[in-house]
Amino acid sequence: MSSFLASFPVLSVITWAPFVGAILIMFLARRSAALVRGLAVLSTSVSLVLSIAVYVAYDREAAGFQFYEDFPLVPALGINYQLGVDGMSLLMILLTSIIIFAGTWASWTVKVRSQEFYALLLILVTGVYGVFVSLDLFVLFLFYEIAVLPMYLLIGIWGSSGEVRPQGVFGWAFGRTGVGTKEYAAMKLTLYLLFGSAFILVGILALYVAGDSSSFSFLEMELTQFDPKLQSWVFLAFYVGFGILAGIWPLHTWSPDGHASAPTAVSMLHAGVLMKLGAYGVVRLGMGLLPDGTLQWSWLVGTIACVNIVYGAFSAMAQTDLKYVIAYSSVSHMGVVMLGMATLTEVGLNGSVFQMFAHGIMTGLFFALVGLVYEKSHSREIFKMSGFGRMMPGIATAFTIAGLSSLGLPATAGFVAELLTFLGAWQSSHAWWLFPGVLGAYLTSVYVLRVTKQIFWGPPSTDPHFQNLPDARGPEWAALWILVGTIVLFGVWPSLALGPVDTATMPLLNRLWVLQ
Amino acid sequence: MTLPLWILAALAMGIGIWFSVSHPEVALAPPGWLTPLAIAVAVAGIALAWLVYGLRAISADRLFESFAWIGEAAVERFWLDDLFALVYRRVILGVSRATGWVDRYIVDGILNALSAWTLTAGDRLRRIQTGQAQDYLYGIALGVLLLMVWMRWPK
Repeated sequence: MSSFLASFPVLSVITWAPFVGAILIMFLARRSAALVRGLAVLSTSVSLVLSIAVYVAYDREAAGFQFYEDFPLVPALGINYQLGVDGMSLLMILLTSIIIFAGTWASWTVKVRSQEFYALLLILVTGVYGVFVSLDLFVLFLFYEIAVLPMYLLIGIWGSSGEVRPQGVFGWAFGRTGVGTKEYAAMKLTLYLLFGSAFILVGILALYVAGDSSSFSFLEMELTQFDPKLQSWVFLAFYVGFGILAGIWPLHTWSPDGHASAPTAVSMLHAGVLMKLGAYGVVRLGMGLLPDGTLQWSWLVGTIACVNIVYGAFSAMAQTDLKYVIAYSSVSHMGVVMLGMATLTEVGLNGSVFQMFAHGIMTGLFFALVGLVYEKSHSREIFKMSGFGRMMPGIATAFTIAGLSSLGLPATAGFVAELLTFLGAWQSSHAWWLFPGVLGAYLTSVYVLRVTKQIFWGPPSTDPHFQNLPDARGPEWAALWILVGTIVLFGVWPSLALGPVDTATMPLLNRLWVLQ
Repeated sequence: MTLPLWILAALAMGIGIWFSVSHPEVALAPPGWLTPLAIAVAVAGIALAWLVYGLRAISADRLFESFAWIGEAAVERFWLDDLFALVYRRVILGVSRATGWVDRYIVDGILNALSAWTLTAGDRLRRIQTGQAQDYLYGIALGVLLLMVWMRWPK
């Protein structure tokens, strides 16, 4: 199979297949919702099948970047269309493929302008794939922007608005900015992420200028020893820039609003994959290119991660809107990702990458389920809903499984990720990080079980709006089965992911440990 | 219906006997008086239960009255459930409400204030553009003046 995959630019096909799908949808599928969905499913299936094939065919013995592609774009400036995957990006590509494939099924019921919706969604996914496979920082940055911008339209047009009562000393600003509306959420998300990408661009340019090869190639920059002072501030720039997308405290507030306002598939993709893009950026560019900077700032990364974990969990518990609970849980779980990488240990970093995958799948499932519950009951108010388990047993079961993975129950992917991360924290030079981490896991179990019990397992609701609600049906099952299956598969067989991941994290850590 | 209980009881006793006969190596060596004391307490408990409920030699009600404070604590499950409820309702939920409020109205509030100020600043600044040529000339003159001052400024 590997010789077959080597016979064509497989990474380019994975990356651009959704884009081609988007163009076909725009040109061919006017007024035919079925054709739109068919093309979306077809193009994402191409990426999914090839991602799985690449995952299987990746040579773990040889490790390093494989399925390499190189094509000069602007030779004078050293910009090349250079692609390749290692064990870490491999897992991220698989995650992206699973989430977008499930997401196309989960958006089956989008009726308004479904042509444009799917086209934008697929363009966005091309950007995400592009970031994970790019080995040229300039191209990576281009893909990064492609991944961020369609979000504005997707939330602004197909999103949903809520209501937030102005309070506190800054309450006067609420009316001016439109807090609670989908337009506000879309604008906030876009401005925040563009603010972050300014830091990233500055960092990339600084490395380009400081490097002696005048090339944007990651592989060449990796060989360059940058001045420790430069490394120090460029690492901070990458940490803030990518960290905003990863939801680091206190720059996380775009994420709950954005995720709660976005339509189902967009929330799935954004919380499931785009936030990982941020964490991936910090590991790939921050740790990969700036070992001195990483050593200097790992205390800050880890400490803020601890704040994220506990603060995010407490905030999630305080929400009454189901979608906000899931959105804040992402803030908490992304803290686990950042904590794992800050430990600078093998188990910790492996746990971090595993958590990127586990949280991606789990939160994708959560948002798919919230979307389904809302579609059936037209409510997201946790404390108005009750006893839905009798009417929608399938949704209730899937929600419970997602919840158990969220709180880290053994046999789910979340358990492996959290266990490894906490082990890493204990082994790191800041052993106290373990305690906020474990407290976060405990708080997660409190809010997850509380919500699950309230909505699904409580006594049946007497509200006339909540009688005879249907369970998931037809294509809606596809997303649930795929995501639940993945959670359990990687929970009971973690080496499936940890094998390739370890080949990517070890060389990274070895370079750091030499300096220590 | 008692079969499962019999099986569990047999297993529990069997393991105990096996351990006391075979003396497996343990990392933590208990003091010598601990085992006899534990057995004595257990036997005393069994004997008391036998006297109260088997032979009915001692009245259960009388016993309860004379040890009322233990009885009450036992009835209240030693207030452990209340403790959990208190920690959950007052501490955990309290902290979570406070955190949720701070996040929405302070952490995010600062951001909203900043963006509202930005909007207001933009609103005010655009009034500079009056469309009158004289105003622009004043602006140019001011700029030139500032440039001259800057270039002549003693280093």
